[in-house]
Amino acid sequence: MITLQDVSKTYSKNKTKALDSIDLTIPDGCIFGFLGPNGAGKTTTIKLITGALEADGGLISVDGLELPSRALEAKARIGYVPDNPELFSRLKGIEFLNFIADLYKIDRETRRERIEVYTRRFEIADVLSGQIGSYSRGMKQKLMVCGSLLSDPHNWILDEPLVSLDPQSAFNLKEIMREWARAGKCVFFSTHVMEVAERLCDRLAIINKGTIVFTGTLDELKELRGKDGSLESLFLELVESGKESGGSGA
Amino acid sequence: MKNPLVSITYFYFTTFYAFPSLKDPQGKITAKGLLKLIGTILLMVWVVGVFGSMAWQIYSSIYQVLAPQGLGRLLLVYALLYGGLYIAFISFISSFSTVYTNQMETYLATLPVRPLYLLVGKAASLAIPNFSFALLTMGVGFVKYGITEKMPWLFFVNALLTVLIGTIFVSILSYCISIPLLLISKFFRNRDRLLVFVGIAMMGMIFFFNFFINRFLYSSTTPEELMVMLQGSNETFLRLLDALPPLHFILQALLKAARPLYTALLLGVVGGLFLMAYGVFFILAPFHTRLIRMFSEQHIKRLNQTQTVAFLKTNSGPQVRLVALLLRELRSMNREPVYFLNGPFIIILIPLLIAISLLVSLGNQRSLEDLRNVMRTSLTPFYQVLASSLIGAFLGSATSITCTSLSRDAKHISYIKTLPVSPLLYLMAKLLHGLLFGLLGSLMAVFLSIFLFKLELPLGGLVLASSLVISALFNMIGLYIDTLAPRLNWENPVAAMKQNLNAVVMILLELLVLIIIAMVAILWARTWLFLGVALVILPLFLLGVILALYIPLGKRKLKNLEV
Repeated sequence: MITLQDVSKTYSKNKTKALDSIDLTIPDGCIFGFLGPNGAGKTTTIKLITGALEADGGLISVDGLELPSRALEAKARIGYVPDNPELFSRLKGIEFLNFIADLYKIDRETRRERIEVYTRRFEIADVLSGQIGSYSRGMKQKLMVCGSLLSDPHNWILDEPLVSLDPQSAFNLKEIMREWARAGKCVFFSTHVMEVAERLCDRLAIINKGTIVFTGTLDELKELRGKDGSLESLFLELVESGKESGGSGA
Repeated sequence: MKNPLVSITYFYFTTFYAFPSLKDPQGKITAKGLLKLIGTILLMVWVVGVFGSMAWQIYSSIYQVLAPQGLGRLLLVYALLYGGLYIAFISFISSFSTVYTNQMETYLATLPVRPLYLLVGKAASLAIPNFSFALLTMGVGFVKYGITEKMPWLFFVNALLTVLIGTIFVSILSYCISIPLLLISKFFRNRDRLLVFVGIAMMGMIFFFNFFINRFLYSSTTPEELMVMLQGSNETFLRLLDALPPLHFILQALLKAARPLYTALLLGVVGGLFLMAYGVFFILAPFHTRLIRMFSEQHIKRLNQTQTVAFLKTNSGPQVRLVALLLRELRSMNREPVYFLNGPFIIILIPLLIAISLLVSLGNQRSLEDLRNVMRTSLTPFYQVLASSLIGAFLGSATSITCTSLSRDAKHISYIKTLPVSPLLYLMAKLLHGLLFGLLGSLMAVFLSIFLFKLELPLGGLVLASSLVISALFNMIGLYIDTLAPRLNWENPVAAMKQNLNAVVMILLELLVLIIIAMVAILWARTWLFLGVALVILPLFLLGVILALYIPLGKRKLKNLEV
């Protein structure tokens, strides 16, 4: 379970307030979707949870482990897929996976088994001997997904994971996300694709201009608005009303 | 609205040279930006000054020999031909290695931009430094002759036009060779292979340049020797002059500069060459765009079913975290030709340059043994150890590994921070990477000292210890600097290494400190104990102090880094 209480973040370079006192609870055993327009604060939130950035204030905890004081233990319980898979272009696919496995202290047999299972599932096992720089963007994305699963993380965080994936791989990824949630683990992902969120999420949060404007289930969202519209129209409505009122908590 | 050609040229110019910007992202002029710009300008002035004075010295030596024989005018031929050869080489190498630059260029090729603009923009961006190089290699010779012979002012105008003609001509010629060559040769249509080839070619040129300069500098004291050396080329040059009428014309234009007709004619040639460049680039432009697309093609190495099964079984060895981080550092740096050739490769390059200098300066020795004897007798063991240690320290730290380590990681840092690894371990892996190559550089110095001076084992040990400690100190300072001010925003790896001010600052700092150490040792160190303190104990103490200061700073900086 991941919890954020009264978390704020302002980037030091341009003094932009990216998050303004957000509260969020991402429970175990469900797929939690994180929606919002570009620049709303989705990636910043994810980076704060994963430890890539540090919050100015508030409390973030992963399975009860508070950040930043117990960051290493918390990170060991997270599998993370970044929004940009253009990483480590000079490493070979297998070297990247072994690097990740080494940092998560995964033993030889387990890593061998997991590398084989996931890379075969995403059909990249045959390119692991090549340098990542030679891969297509989709293949890089799949490699990042495989890397994030190696530690069998209790909390799986994915930033725009379906971008660049072919339909078969997107289907596989969604299947694994469901398996993860069924196993009682926490799955948190951001997306722009409303249909995906509508079909995949058990719970969702909508963020706009650094403020959470809704948290709950899809049914609760529809109920809140009193309309039987699609998630897309509800989302746009919320974002628009957030713009007018300067954003309001759910 | 800017002309597309101007925008394209600007794009290539910033891609190739990446001058520090005066303004911050908010558009304000900052003191940091101003300092960086002033530093860059000073560095450029220094580089131009060094090469300029070297060229001046060489041309002066040649002139001193030729003038008494009544062959002073041959200096102009030397400048034309030797200078021309250097410009041609540099121009070819730069055009050949940048026919494809990076993925941004692939994107540019998809935009509604005339192919001609892409090629002309690129050629123009490269022509600017080529022209500066031509001024140094060719222009200095002309100026030397012009001043000494008290030529009229139009001589200098004609000389400038000649340098311009040379630059434009070799630029056209370079593209006429490199584009067809890359079109027909699949071997070179691999960016890594191309960069390695260019690196080796540049190394060859550095060796030749080094050899050539050393020959002149060591022979300049005996004009007879220099005359003998120049005799062969004089005859070749005179034959070339007869065989190539354009050379003859340029020579006439320089010698008869008092007549404005020649200036007008040279201006006509410049105009003609611009027209010719337009024609040639117009023809080559579609092929250039085609090459950009060819370079962008991705070739993925796929294993078959059996190979995949076998591969997955053999590649899953666990490592401790520090080793895993170190392996990533080593692979990421040394598989990138730009990084390797401008970094760790220096450990091979510098000893070779030293060997060439020695061979040239002591070329009259009968055998290798004689050479070693001369080396041994010309320096006392005290100075042999000092020289070897300083060389080892430089070799072990001039690799720019630590002073560019965070800059090279750039966007990876954000991802690495999400992994369960402590900031300290991550930073120490970077230091360890530098120290590993520091050890290689130090061992190279020990090898050189034993080979050249036949140093005894304990003294070899002292060389190893001092080289290792001083290079470790430099590597530590380099990491400190790059942690304080990493260069994190770049698209092309060149920017993280060759265009990184941290690397320049470190090289200059290393040279300065090594000179100071040498001076202190020469002036005050009289005993082995004193030398040991100066070369091992003191740097070790400083290393400890800086490391102790660095650890909290590194952790804090990494934690606060927003990539």
